[in-house]
Amino acid sequence: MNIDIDHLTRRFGRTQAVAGVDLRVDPGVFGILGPNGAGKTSLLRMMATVLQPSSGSLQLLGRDPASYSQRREIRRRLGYLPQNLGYYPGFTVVEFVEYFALLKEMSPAQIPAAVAAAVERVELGERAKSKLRTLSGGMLRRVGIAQAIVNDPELLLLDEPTAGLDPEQRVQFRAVLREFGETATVVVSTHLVEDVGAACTEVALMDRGSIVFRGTPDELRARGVGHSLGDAPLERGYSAVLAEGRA
Amino acid sequence: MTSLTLPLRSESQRVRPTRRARLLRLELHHSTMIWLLPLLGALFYFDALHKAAGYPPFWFVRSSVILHELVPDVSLFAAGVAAWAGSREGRRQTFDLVSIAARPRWATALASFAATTIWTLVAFLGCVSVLYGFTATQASWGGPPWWPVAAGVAVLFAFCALGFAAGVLLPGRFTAPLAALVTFLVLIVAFRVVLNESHPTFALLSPMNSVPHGDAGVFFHYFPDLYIVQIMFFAGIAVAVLGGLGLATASGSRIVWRTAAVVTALGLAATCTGVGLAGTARVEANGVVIPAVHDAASDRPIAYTPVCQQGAIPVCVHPAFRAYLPDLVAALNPLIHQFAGLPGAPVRVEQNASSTVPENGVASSPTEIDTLVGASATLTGNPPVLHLALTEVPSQPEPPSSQPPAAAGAFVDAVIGPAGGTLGDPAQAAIEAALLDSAGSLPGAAAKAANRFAALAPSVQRAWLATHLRALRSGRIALAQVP
Repeated sequence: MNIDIDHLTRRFGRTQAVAGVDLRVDPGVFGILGPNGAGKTSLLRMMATVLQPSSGSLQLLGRDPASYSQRREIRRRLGYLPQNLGYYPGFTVVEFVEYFALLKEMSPAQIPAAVAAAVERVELGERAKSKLRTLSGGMLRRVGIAQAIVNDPELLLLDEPTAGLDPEQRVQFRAVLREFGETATVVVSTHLVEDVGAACTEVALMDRGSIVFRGTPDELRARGVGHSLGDAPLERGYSAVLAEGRA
Repeated sequence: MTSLTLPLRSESQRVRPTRRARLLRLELHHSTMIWLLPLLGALFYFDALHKAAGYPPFWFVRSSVILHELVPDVSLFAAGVAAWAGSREGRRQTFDLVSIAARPRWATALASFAATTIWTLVAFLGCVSVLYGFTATQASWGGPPWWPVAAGVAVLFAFCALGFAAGVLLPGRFTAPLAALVTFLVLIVAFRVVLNESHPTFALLSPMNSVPHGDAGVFFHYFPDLYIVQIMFFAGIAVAVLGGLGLATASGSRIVWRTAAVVTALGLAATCTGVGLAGTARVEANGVVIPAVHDAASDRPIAYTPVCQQGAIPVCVHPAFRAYLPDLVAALNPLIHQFAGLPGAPVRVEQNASSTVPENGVASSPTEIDTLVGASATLTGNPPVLHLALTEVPSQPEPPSSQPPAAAGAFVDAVIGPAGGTLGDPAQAAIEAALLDSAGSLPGAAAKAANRFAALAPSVQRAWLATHLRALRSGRIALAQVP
């Protein structure tokens, strides 16, 4: 089990962003859906060891991130794409990815090949030497994905990874996700239900800090039968679950 | 899919220097300081180098611009750029990505700090190289003093560390200009005004406050005491600040925390020791002495062989002043012809160290340093030898060409004036004015006497001086007796 969460909560002042979440995730692509403010990003940031939980327990890759030495081991095996990707405009694509490969303490001997592979994987090989300031929003998103996957992570956490990607890139990226999901645990937080349908083996739906649904995309589709809100079966399932939870 | 194997612990340890080197290379390549190098070069050219060129070509005097001009100029930019580099994660919103890296955030921050500091020091040492190279083409004796350079490195290291820490802890677009402004205020206001007035010895810690003695490195060794204390103080600040940064970013790592705590403690100890030692500083004839670090060997004068120009009265100077000898002899020659061989006239002119000591060893403005603009002389011994001290008075830099006329005046003062005193007798003043062609500066009767004497043929003047010099020196000649 790569992610093992028990009664995890996170408060920001009086606001409870994550309210007692229980979650166990094995290798595969796991999607987290939910409306704005549902707590997806806070949950993902706790999984990424950016945020400390207010209460509850969290085990990642069989290790406890509360311990510094174990947290460091987790971080070596972690890939994370934050919702708002910051970048250094003067760096080239390769330099930016290499920079984070170095921070992830990859072996220097492996870094050049790993960086090149990550850049190729996100289809930025031709722009490898371009400064980040010259790239479009979609390309920058792909650079963010490249830095997340450069260390071939065992746990890959992606917050809105397809935001800004065009349809063709999105399709290619889903293929990358499926490929990673064969060996690693990939957690994708997204608004886009079609990403979940196309790439995820399992999905959780969050609302108001809690998980209100967990199952396969097909099970989510089934929950939408007879529900009118939504254009596609997954969207109808998504809306139906949220409506049930709120009722 | 790329096949990657995460490094084992032992392998990780073995390759760590390479990883550090790669990170440093990236940071060096992208340091903002690179863009400021031309600006720093221009600033150095128009400020420090221009000022140094106006000083006599003596190593120690020229090196004073390092701490007085160059270091303050570079410090402002270094602190600002370091703050800019330190605030990068906050400004660029990469905090999440950097903070979850396996590499301790302190180590990552130190790489960025190191890049800024290295470029700062490259700029600084490049400027010092130009300054010393330029001086080497003009100086005729001695070698470059390195203690001011080491003190400059320590000061820049400290301001880089302070700026960087400000950037990390208070990330924002305005942190960099604020850091530069605070650096300016610390250098100019805190040290120069507050400490200078209340605790002059502590103000010596400021790189801009120590006044070099013009004879240091020429007639006597320059004392490294103050530089050693400045290095302890500023390097201590830098180390303490960087250690404090480690404490702030330890994120639960006991190893990082303990290491940072030890580093901080060492830095604070060095800083406090520096402050304590500065409090024991005393200004002596040849510079600032701090007993705990003072080397008695540096009290001994520097041995040298004078450079002489033979003539009716040989003129000898310190080899550092070799370049001035022709002008000096040219200025003294008319007087030498008048006085050579006269009873009581010098048989030799020798240069001595000046005895000028900067007041309290602390300048009241950065431009006040000792330069060669005057001279004084005394006549002692039997046969008499004229000891000429090329005096140094606090002033704006002046070209060395003003020195020979001053030397001629000092020569006449010493030969016709009272021993160890100043010209007070009207007849002495009139004769001096006549010999130096400056009768216009005297009051009516004395000016008339001076003009009368100046109108005489040199041989007549010499004949009169031969018979009246002793009486003139003892003040027994009245104005009316001047031919």
